[in-house]
Amino acid sequence: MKSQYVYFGKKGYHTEAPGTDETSTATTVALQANEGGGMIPTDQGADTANGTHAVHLFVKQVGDGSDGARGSGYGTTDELGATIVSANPKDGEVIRVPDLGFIWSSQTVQVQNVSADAVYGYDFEADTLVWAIDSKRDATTPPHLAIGADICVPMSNYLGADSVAFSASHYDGSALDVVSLKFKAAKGSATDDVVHLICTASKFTEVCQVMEEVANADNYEKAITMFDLDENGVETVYQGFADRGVTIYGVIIEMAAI
Amino acid sequence: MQTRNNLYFNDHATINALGIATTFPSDRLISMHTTGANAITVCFFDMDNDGDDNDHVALTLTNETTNLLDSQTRRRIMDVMASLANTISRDGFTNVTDTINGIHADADILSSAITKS
Repeated sequence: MKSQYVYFGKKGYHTEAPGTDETSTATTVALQANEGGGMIPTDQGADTANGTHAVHLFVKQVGDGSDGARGSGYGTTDELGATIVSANPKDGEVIRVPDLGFIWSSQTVQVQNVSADAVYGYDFEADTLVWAIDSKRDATTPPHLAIGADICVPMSNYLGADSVAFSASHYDGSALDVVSLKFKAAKGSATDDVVHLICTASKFTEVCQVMEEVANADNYEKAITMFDLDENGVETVYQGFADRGVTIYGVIIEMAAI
Repeated sequence: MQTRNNLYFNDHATINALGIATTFPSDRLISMHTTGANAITVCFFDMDNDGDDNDHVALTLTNETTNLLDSQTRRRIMDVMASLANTISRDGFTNVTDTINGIHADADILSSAITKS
């Protein structure tokens, strides 16, 4: 019996507020990435040359910060195109911390405060928002070359989709939801493997339409790439998502060992 | 009537023991996964039908010169497997690896290792 195959590669996406106010302390902020975010980064030390971290780290200021609460190395324009004064964080500004400005240790990312790093330091407040997002497929952000890195599955094993609320927004303010796509478990047991799509909010029905579309695609010579992020950071996304206004921000593959 | 296709794997020079040559109906293929730089694993529902474990075949692929080329080869072989699974062979089954005769479905599939639950 013929079946259309689909392929998903993972893209880790993790966001949270660190919950630690370091404006008056000498600690570094810690943000824990984990399996739930689709990434378990290996330990990576400081002064890693720019471009070698496979995770991009974004920080959004919530409320105006004190002058001098951010380093001098963030230029004059933030990630959203707004004009900024590097050292003086203002409400809503989003900066990407360069690879030189953070480390990974025991799956937590650490950014120095300004007193320790006057260039890329950042004195986080408890409600400062931080995003860690895979920027490329790499051994430093497992799962890599292992279960959970990708899945290629016939649509005949598609069990259904479930909508899940996502508590955070993207750093540009876009609201997010999660659509969980369920497939028969590779283990062969009476359970499922799940592909969690972190995507544009309120697009559950559109994602279901995409799944219906690919199930009946009749392209039996190849698997359709639904999402992939390669070693150079190039994303391949099935056009049906964009046609329906769905942006994919993260892909997390949840499955047991086989 | 349902038309079925069977995928044939043989990873030894002989066929005289359990788990060294198998055919799996293609509609029992569950999914495929990257399991190494030059390896993918193809999972099937257990042919003993016990329902709590799978049978799977690890395919060793050409070891390319860069990580990007490795991933492109893995992805291409998943395409090959999807195509083979959707092929109806008039020869009785569709060959993926046939070590006895030195015939593999694609030149980048170097070998297979069958694991029966």
